[in-house]
Amino acid sequence: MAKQRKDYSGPLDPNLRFEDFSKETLVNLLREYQRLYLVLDGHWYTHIKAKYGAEEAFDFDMKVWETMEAYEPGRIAHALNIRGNDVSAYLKVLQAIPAFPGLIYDRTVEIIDKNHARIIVNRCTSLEYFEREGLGREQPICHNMEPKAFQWTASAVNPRIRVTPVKLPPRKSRDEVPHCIWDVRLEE
Amino acid sequence: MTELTDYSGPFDPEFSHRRFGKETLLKLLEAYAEYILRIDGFWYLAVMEKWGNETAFKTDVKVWERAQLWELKVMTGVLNIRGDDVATVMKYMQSNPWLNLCEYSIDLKNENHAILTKYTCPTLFALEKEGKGRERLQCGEITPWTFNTISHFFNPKIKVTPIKVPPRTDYSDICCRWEFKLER
Repeated sequence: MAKQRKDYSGPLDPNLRFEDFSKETLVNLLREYQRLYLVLDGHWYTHIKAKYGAEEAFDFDMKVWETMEAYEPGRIAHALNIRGNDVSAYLKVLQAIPAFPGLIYDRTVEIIDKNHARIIVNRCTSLEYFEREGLGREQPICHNMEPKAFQWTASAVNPRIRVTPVKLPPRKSRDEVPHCIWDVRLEE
Repeated sequence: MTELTDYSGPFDPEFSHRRFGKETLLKLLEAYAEYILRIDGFWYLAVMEKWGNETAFKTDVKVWERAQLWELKVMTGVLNIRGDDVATVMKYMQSNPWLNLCEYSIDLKNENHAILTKYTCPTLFALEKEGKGRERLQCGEITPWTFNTISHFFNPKIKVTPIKVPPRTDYSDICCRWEFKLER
C-alpha cells in the first residue's frame, strides 16, 4: 500500500517522493507554494520600491505579471486538461492558478449564463496586508494592476473575454465584504 | 466522492483542490514550483535589463535574505521537519519547491554527512542557454549562500562545501555537487 505521510517527521527517507505524502499534506504544500509565489513578488517589489521609488516598482511589477500571465494560464490548463476558450474555461483556470490563490483567498463565482459570470472575492489577504501597511497600495494594485491582471489571464484563454471591476477597495470599514467583485463577459 | 483526475468536466462553483486525486495534486505542485521559479526569474531579468546584472544580483540576494527564512519556517512547519543534523537538512532539501524541479540524488554517509548531486537544473539550463556566463554568480555565490542559509537554520555549525559547480564545459556532466558536513 502506498505511503500516506502526514508530514516528514522521523528519519530521512533517501527515496522520498512527493507521492508519499497524504492528499491533505499535498494540499497544505500547494497552499504554501501559492503563498511563496506572492511573497516572492512582494519582496522584489519592496526592494525595488525602497531603492527606486513606488512608481518604478509598480512599473516593474506590471511588466513581470504581464509576462507571467502569458504563461500561467496555459501551464495550468495543460496540467488539469482544461479545454475550450469560453467563460467557463477561463473561470476554471482562474480557480486553479496560484496568482489568484484559492487556498488563501476566499472567493466564489456566480454563473449568470454561459457567456456571463461574476467573480466575488469575499476575503483577499493581500488587501488586508495593504490596509495594515497603511501606505495606500490598494489604490494602484486594485485599481490599476488587478484589472489588467484579470484581463491578461482572460485574454490568454480567449481575447474576447472581458473582465471589468464592479466593486473595488478601498473599503469603508474593515468589516465590509466582499472585498471586490468582477464582471466576466464573452463578447459576441 | 469520486476523485477527479483533471478538470476537463464542467465548471464547478464549489471547486476545491481536495477534489483532485493525488496524481493531479502532484502535477499542480510541479506547476506551482515552476511558477515560483519563473516569477523570481522574471523579476531578475526585468531589473537586469534596466539596471544591469550587478543591481539585479544584489536585489536578488536581499529578496532571498527574507524569502528564504520565510520559506524555511513555513515548509518546516507544514512538514514538521525538526532536528539539527545534516539528515534533517537533506529532508528539507527533498521537500522544498526548488529541488522538486531538478533530478538529484542524496548520498547520506551518516546523519552528519551527505553529498547532494544535481543532475538537471532548469535554472542552470536557462543560464547556459542565455550564454552570458551568469551561472558563475548564480551557482558560485547565490547557491552556496542559499545552501548555507538553509543548513544554518537547522544548525550554524553545518559546513557546506562545493565539490563541483558550473560553469560546465561538458553539458552531459552533472550540474553540481555539494558536501554537507557537521563536525560534532
